[in-house]
Amino acid sequence: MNSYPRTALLAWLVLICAGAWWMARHAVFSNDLTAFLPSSSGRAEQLLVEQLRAGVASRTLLIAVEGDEPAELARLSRELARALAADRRFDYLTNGAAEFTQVARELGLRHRYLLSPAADAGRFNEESLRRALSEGLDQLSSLAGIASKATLARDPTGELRRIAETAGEGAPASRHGVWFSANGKRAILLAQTAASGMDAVRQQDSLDVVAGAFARINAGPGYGLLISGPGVFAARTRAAIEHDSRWLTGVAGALVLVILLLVYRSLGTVALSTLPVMTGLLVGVATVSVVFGSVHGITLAFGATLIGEAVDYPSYVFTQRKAGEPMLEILGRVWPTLRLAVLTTVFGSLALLLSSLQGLSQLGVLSMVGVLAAGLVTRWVLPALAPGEGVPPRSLPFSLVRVGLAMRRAAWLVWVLLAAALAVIALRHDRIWDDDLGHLSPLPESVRSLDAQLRADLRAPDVGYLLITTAASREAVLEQSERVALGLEDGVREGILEGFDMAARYLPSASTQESRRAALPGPETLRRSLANALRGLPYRADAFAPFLQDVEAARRGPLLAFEDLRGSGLDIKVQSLLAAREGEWNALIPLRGVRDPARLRRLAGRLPGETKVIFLDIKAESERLIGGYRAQALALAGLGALAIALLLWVGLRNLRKALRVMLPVYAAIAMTAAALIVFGTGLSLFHLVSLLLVLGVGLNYALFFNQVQPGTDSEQGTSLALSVCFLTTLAAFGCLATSRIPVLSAIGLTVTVGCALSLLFSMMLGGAAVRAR
Amino acid sequence: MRAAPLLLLVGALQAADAPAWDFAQLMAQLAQVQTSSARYSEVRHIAVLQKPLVLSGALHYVRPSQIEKHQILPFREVIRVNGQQLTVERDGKTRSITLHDVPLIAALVESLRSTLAGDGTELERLYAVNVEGAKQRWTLKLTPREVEVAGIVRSISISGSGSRISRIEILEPGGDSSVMTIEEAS
Repeated sequence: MNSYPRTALLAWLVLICAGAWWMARHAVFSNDLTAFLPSSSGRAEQLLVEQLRAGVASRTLLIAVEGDEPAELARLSRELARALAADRRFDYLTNGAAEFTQVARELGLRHRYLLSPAADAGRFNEESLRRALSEGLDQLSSLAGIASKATLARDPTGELRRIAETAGEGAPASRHGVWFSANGKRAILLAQTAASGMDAVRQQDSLDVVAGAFARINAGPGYGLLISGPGVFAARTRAAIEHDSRWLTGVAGALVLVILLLVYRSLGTVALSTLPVMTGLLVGVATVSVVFGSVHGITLAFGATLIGEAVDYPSYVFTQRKAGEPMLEILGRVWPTLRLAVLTTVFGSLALLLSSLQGLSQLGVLSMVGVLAAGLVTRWVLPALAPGEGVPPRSLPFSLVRVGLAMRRAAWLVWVLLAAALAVIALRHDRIWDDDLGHLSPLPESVRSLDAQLRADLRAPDVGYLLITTAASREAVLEQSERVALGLEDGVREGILEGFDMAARYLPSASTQESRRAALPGPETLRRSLANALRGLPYRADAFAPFLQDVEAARRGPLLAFEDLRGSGLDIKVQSLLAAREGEWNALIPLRGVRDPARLRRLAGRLPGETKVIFLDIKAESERLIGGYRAQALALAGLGALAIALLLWVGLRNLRKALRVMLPVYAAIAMTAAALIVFGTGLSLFHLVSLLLVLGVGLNYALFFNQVQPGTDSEQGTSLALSVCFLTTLAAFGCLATSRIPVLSAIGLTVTVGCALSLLFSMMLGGAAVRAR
Repeated sequence: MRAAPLLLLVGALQAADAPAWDFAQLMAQLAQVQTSSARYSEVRHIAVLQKPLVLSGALHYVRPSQIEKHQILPFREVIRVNGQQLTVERDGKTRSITLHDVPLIAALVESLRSTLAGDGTELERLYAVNVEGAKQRWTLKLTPREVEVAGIVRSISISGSGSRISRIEILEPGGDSSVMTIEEAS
């Protein structure tokens, strides 16, 4: 008898030390939100998530200077751009001004005969040249000529202009030479950070650099700085998660301690009652870290509160203490019920554990292991640490059991409400679910609407649709892109979409470049055609010598390679549109102004030859994915509920008793769900998880109410136990409900409401109420 | 009779002594004009051409921001600027653009329009300004501030008398130039 408390203590110490050691040596905490996003299914989606995490697009910051006077905005934009371009924390920066496009322009001029889609053999015969030269003459006497004149002698056929027009398609509006929003209220800049978009700390650093540079350029009081982009999201998400997990956990913990202190009137007892939950948290987090390699911030924030249920376990014991009663004796009475309470939660967590969404299965592991550990500590370690007789707890001036009995008369109201809730669920069965990923984002609506605004200002492509084509090499995927472009140009002509962008536009495939180069005429031929074309026109005979030189240089020169694009900004553009992974090359083709997604999908399906292209409807796709996970979670939750029912049947050795325990809780869950459907945006995956938690906690209430004999000692003890348990849950999840992170506040609110209803219904309909009848 | 040369001398001294004619005064003077109409002829010296291009037509200005250029030779073309809207009418076809979208052309348009309007603020935003001469014979020299504009225009010299503009000379970085002579209808 003496040895086994010692064994329990020893085992506990070993476990704690092992957990602490692992945490100190190996624990990695991540704030990468994609753990809570669908991780993978199709290749295209995987690619997309990868691009979101680490692609060039993820390193793009959208910066805007806002104010009334466009001229001043343009000045600020230029100064800000110069300041940031000089900073090593930015790889690339542009505000559309010539100083930032100059290199690309010169590159375009130098390689125009390889880049221009119009550069075919017919382009340089006598007739075409004559037409081009006459047009050039016209331009010289018109307004537009001023700009085009500079390159007339080198580029009479206007290839540079054609390239610039194609590249400038969908470029932002411009005022005073820099990018502006269409309404002229914002000057727009685009920056590429050196830091990865998901590196929240270095992104914050980059954001500080922008803010610091803006502060130094003497903007007037009416001018403000706006920044958006994945980096901003990462930094703000990290700040929000850190803030909430620190503060809410802290505040919730403090509240729980105060409640316990008020009830037990003994610091020792309070300290003991935090032991199971602390052990559970340590062991749970260490287990998650062992199993998954890293622990997500949300897992930690939510998991800590989830295990908060374990604060209840010692409460069920200590509150039942009669004067002078040793721990083991109390446990002898309470443990059978407590054991069921712990096991129901473990079975409930099983549903989370099996989810293929990593964030959820982390939560499942944490709560399952944590709750189990907390239960074991309550049963074996607490009596070993405090075997003696403690102070009996404060007694309540009222009895929850009595209150429940008094309210029994109103039980019909519960049935009516339940019927109403079921009716709501049945009527709205097709609109219950909210599968919009946006609602799960921890960012406030204002951040997302600013992003949408700046993207619209930039005339950035639709975020909703994307074409992806895949091939074995960069060369092959560029060739394939060019074939896709042919089909898409048809689509543009038919009005299915406004435009598109692709890497092959800035870096044509070698075979296309070769055929363009081959189409260039030899020097003698070209000289003859030019001389004939010039006849009768007022140009000087030698005026176009630079043109002859350039064509000959292009004919003999090398093809344009990716390396040639370096430093022009086009290299970054090409990189953002091409992605190599697992030995395959993918070309991403963003689309602008998609008017008819269905026709576009069909168009993508009937491209010529072997060309394979995936049309991705990103919003629909992610909703389908989330819906899939939700359906899976629902099935698993059903399985969990079934397991719990079986457990209760076996544990209570009576089907009717089991049903009586379950009924109040399931009624509470149905009503909470109905309330969320009616008053909220609908149920998301996370509401579902929370309801599962309600099931775990609510069943504890029902179980303890079920074993109460009205008028005995157990009435007083159970009443106190449940009051304490409910108050601690209310404190913890009430705090969570105030979180700015939608996921956390949804969980907090759902659990608070669900547990309150569970307690109420357990009081009114539970076993005690039935027996007292 | 001996007084006559003396009077001339005094007159010449007075002219030389006349208060310096500065940018603000010139702008104030020009800002008095409500509308004006003039005929112009323009000679463009362009390196790729055997001989200079000669263009001619009429100019109209209505306060504060409307100008029209009716080119008659070598072909008919009407350019209208009103506020930020620029329309080009040629061969019965009309093309319309917003000046905001074409900063280079906007800078050129403003060199004339803001001068006609006496809008010193706008001129100084786009160009470094320098005024020489006197009220009766002044020259306003504009040098672009932005590199983009400087890429196509080295300087613009506008000469005139009182509130009338008589000559605009544009020098380009590549050596090309254009001289527009303006004869205002009275």
